[in-house]
Amino acid sequence: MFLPQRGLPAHAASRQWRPGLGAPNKMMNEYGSGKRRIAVTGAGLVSALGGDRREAWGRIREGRSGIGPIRVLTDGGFPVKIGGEASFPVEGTILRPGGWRGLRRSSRTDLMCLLAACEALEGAGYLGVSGAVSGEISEFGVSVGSTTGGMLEGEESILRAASGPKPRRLRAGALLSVPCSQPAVRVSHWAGFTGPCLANTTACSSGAVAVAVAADAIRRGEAPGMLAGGADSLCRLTLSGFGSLKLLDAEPCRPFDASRRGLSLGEGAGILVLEDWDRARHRGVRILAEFLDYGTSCDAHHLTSADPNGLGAAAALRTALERSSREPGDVDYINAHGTGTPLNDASEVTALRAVFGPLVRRIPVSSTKSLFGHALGAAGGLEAVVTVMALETQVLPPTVGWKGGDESFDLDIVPGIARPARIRMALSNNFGFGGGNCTLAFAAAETP
Amino acid sequence: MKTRPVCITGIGVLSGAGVGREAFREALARGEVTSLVEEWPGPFGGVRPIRVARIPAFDPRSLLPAGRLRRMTEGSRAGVVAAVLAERDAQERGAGGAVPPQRRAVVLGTGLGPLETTGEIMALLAREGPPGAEPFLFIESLHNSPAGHSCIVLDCRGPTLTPVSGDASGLAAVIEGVNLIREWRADRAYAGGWEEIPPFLVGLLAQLLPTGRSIPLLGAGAAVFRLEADPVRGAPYAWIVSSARGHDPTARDLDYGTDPSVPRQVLEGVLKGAGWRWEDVDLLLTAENGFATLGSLEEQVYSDWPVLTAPAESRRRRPALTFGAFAGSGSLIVAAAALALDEGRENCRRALVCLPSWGGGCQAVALSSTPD
Repeated sequence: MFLPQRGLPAHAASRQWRPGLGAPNKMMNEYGSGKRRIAVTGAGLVSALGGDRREAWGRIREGRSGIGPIRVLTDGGFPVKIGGEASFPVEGTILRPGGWRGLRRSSRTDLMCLLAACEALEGAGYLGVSGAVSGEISEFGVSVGSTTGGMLEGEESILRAASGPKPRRLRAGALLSVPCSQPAVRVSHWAGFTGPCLANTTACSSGAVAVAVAADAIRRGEAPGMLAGGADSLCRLTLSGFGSLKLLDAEPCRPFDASRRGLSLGEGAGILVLEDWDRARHRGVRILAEFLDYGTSCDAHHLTSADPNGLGAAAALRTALERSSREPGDVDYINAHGTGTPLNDASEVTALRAVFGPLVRRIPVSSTKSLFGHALGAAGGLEAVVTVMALETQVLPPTVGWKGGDESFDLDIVPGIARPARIRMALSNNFGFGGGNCTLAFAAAETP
Repeated sequence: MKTRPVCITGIGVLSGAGVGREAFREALARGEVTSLVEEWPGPFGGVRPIRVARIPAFDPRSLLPAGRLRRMTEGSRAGVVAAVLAERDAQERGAGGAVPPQRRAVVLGTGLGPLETTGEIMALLAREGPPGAEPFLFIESLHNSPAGHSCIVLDCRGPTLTPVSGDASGLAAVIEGVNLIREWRADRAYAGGWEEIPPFLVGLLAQLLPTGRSIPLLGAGAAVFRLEADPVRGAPYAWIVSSARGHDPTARDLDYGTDPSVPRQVLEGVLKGAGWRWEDVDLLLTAENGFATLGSLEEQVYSDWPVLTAPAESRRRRPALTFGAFAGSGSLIVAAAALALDEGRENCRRALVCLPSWGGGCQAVALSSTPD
């Protein structure tokens, strides 16, 4: 059941520490074998595949990609014209204009985050028929990762002010949403939560790290439950920035395919309701999955290039397994980071091979970035939701556009359309600029 | 929360007083730093004079490799230099043993991120459109660039986080750093915060804040702490014995909360976590920075609260009034607490830092001169 010693850091081995095997002190009683279990009781998804997770899941099962023309940025000159632009009608939801006073100051990122949070809370049974958040969860907290926050509105304001013969005044409202903490703050304000309001920005792993940080907050008793995930919108900064790095593909991305040439940017929000397992059981709500644990690491190699040896990614994967008291053979599905850039995909495959050895050929892997694009800070949230849905429905999401051809990638890539499978445990990988890596580990709520 | 004690073994500070711990300490004792007066157009015409305490120019070549320096903007430097200074300080004090890179974490918080770089990119986009984007500036516009650089410079391959929690992001980072060690995800963490005050932000505040609302002294700065698990060699500055966090959902956008019960609950939480009573606290460091809403909130928190069995005022210090609002995103206030405990000044053995932040957050830590 437990990993061999090579997987442990030297100092931990010397202290005879094994996850789930006894404890060197009181802390490990709490965070080792006896640690508090975390239930996922709700999930919300806003993406290029639609405004809610059911709609998105339908398209995921059919392998219908949401990557298409970008309309939200009307000015020309961008290096590519396609991306995973989200569609999310606010009308008809409880966030309709006039429904909440904070709405008019919310950025596109905030809106997507709020809608995903609404859906997640509704699914968890915490939203009344009137759309009011249940008062019994006022002590809940929020943890949201974002890379650019409300930059889209901020840059529109700045560029408008800078255009024309005479500089004009900046629009305050647009700039108030720029900080990356705002999506978390908006959700906290809307829901009336008094628990920790946490935001984190570690580039493309932000959403995953936010889920990890939220689970730890519950385990240490800071809040009985947390809304956690990621949110980001398309904006000029990222589209032109990734373009300048020559990382964008003019065609829809094809992760792990031999012809892959780069990524497709996307946007959206993916939010989970995490809560104490016993609390969820006690109130009789349907548990979608169990959050087991996570691993994080840093490449300490280069700010934008992944370590070609995949050492950091492998460390995050190993730590996630160790902290979850699981072995490589327990993993039934991996939602890969899979951006579609030649180097990133190769580095991730190297890391998977290092951790799983020959098993890597039989563990289904998919990159759902082929469906909704790379949503940067939101990616970890979107992919956590998809991983939970895979466990919930026992269906493996596909990698659209993958036709194979790269013989060095000896993985079981799920191609084309979704396929049913027995999934007891799943991992979700996210790696970001700055070298940060995060792997989340989930398990089916009940043994399938 | 009291298991696996975590202590501060090194401090790196950059502030309006200059580079290094001693310059900071002296300015703290003096109660002032040199500030510049910058003039900006007001919202309805006229000129608004705004005081800014900037980090004086310094030569980073003795602190960072030339190759790394070329890859970072001036904005990124403060956080990275503070982390390097914290490491050097800990080594000079003979603290700690070897910790493998995989067990070393970096947690650098910032409330606003690299605004100057973002402003430069916007200027380029306005002038040249998307083809004007530069890869170097884009990478450096990411909030976590300083953390990424620090990981490379200090060879940290463990967890890396960039908390964003308004003007208390540096304190949020310290709390996360402590948590990583307590929960065995790391054995050493370089944790703290940084904030730059570029002309872009000053001009923005000049335009956004109504004419009648005064703009207090603004401060740039960074403070990073080398945190590690007890036991360690050498003499730690202080132990961080507990933390607590809360949120005021009635706060508006980027303003501070208005409900004094939120900071009070956070204070009660941190005292409970430390196993202290209010009368055990020798020093209270608060966020007051000259912004009226924050001053009003803290006034409500600390006056007429029956839990306070002794007047809060006699033990209260307000470092942000010296170093400027936003300076180090709250990390300079933690540095002030750690230095006071280290010196035993004012018979100080136990200190609380409680910082409400814009957006409604509130966080607190309890620091002690002994592991308790």
